[in-house]
Amino acid sequence: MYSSFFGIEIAKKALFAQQRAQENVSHNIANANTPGYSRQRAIMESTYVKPYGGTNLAGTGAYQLGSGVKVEDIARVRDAFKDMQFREENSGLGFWQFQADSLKQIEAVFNEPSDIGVSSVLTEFWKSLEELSKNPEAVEIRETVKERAVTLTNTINHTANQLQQIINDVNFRLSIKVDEVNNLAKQISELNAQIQQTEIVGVTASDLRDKRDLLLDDLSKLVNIDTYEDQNGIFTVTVGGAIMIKGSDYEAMKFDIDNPSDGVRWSGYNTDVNLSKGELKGLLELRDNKIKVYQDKLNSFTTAFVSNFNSIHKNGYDLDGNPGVDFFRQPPNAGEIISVSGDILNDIRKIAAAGSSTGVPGDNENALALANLKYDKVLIDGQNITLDDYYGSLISKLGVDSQEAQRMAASQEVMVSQLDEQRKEISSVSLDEEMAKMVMYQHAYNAAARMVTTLDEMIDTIVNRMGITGR
Amino acid sequence: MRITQGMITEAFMRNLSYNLKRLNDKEDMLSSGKRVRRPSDDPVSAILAMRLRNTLSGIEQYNKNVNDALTWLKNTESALANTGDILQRIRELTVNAANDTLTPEDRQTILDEVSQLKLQILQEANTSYNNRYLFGGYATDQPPFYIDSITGKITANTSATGTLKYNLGMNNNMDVNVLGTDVFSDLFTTVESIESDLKLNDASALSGRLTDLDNAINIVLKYRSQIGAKSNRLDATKSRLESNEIDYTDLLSKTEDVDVAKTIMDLKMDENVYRASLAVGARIIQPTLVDFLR
Repeated sequence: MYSSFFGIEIAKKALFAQQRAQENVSHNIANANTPGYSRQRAIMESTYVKPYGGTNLAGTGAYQLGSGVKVEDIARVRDAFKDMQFREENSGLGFWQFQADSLKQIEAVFNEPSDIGVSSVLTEFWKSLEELSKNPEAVEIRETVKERAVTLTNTINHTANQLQQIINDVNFRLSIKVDEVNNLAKQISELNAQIQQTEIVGVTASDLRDKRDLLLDDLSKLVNIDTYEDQNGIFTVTVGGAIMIKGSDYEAMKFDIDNPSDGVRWSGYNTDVNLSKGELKGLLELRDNKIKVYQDKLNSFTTAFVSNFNSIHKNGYDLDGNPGVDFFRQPPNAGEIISVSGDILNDIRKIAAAGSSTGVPGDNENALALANLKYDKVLIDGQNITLDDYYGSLISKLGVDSQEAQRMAASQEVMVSQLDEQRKEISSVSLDEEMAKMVMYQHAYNAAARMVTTLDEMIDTIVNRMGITGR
Repeated sequence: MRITQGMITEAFMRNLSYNLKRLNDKEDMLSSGKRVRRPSDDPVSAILAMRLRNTLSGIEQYNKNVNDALTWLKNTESALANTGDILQRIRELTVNAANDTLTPEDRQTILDEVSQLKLQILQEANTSYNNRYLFGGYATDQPPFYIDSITGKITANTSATGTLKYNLGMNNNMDVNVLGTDVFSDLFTTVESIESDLKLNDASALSGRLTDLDNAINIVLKYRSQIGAKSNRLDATKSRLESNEIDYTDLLSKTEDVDVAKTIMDLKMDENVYRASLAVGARIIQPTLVDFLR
């Protein structure tokens, strides 16, 4: 024989469960616009089963009666595989985005094709030498040659300085980004501890996991990460094969802005971080394999220009019949990669336009040779090429690099947003859906309440109406 | 596929900013007039544009060189033309002086004129342009011929040598100067011999000088025709440079300039798309089930 109130107990459980589920709906609606939130589902389960009828549990004629419902878990609806894919592509996006932005900036530094880039001021310099070849004794034309040379050196130095400035910016960004990585790692490790503590009793820490996933999304933009969780719920994040976060511990990265060439290293392991993607890798790539190349090419161009120009210039003779001196100076002053030599700056008579020492002012032989250097193939980086063409190849490389970075950043952006959309397809909150569920739970709640009323009436029958015959 | 309100909003924002960016690109192109604003817009065209700019600057410079060469030659030519005229006058006077019937006084008068004409030739030989002596070779700052104050004889400046070359293009140059010694040295000797013959009143010697004079006249003519030929070559170079300039300017424009008609069409299309996406934005706040539940 069982309690008369068992049915009320079942109905009460139903009321509570439907109410929990309704609250879950409310939580979902409340977080419909929360970044990183994944919708949650109340998982209902029928409660224990009681055997009825037989004398023992296995007895014939026995049957089972359920004892109602409970909310077994509030689970989040999320696909871990999609997260993995998203983070993979997000690292790629991080890799290309800074490069695309910085390369555009470098294109602005070189300012080609235009009337004020190195190419144009160099052309103006060649033109001034043509004028010199026609009027080698004219002071005003010598002055023009000197001024054009100064403009050329200023433009080259400015370009070189701007490139260095961008490298400095990249290093600064690297140091900030490394701090960001460490900060995220710290937060994730703290969440790991909280999640473990919460889930030890067998419930899902959905909201904490959402927070952790959101931080992992952020981290994946900065570095290439892999994540896994063992059976005991110990969650691990590795970067390039090295463990960065394990449970509540994390390993910090370091970047020494005073020794930027050391790159990004693990503080504790004291080894290089094996980066393959993400913003950190993107910045390093930009610094070491892109800007560095333009810097090197600009230096090679300048060195070849100076040495070839000087050697022709020294073959000639100045207005006073003295042998030519160095026209350009290299190495120049600090912070410059080329300058006009002091001799020329102080005395334009020292411009060696003449081909012989007889000191006659109209001799234009060397001025012609200098002007014709424009068309001479000279040795730069092991190749025989004109100065103009070599400089053109620098700009061409920059253009192609920048175009590639912009295209890759754009296509990664599309990829990432598509994957994010796929995740949201599963995890984001649909108001229609929540409304439908709300109605569903409301009806179940109402029905359970009605059950209480019915059972009450049944008990009323027993208590108040039974055994009153003849009263 | 499950679609949620949040997804619709996000997709809308993403597309809206993409459409606005495209619109911005077209506006930027139209306002700058350039299709290729940085190398990454089109690396091949950008490099081509750089080369074309260099080539155009070169053409501009060579055009200037050609004009300067032409002016130089024109000045040389007019000096030689004057010299030729003066020589003709000297020849007439010499023919006249070779006549046996002339008195020593007559010859003295002729001598006076010849001496003046010699000084005129000296002036032509020392012609300068832009403060430079045309016939002085590299010694452009010194007169190529000077007159000895004691003997009255004309002497050439020995350092007046050297060939002035002007660049007319890549691997293309021209000698623009004529050396005074080549034209004038024998000429002055001849005129000075005539002077002394006149002084000595030697009619037969004077008639013998006519051959030398004819030689001098021929030399002047030779250089004049040489200058004529050079001027022709310069004129041809000039018209080639001018047509090159037109061609390259056209090519540069085709390489880096905006096709305005096409870009405006594109702009209009992008504008429509942007407007449409804004209109969509106004509609994305759709009623949900909330609105229909009582």
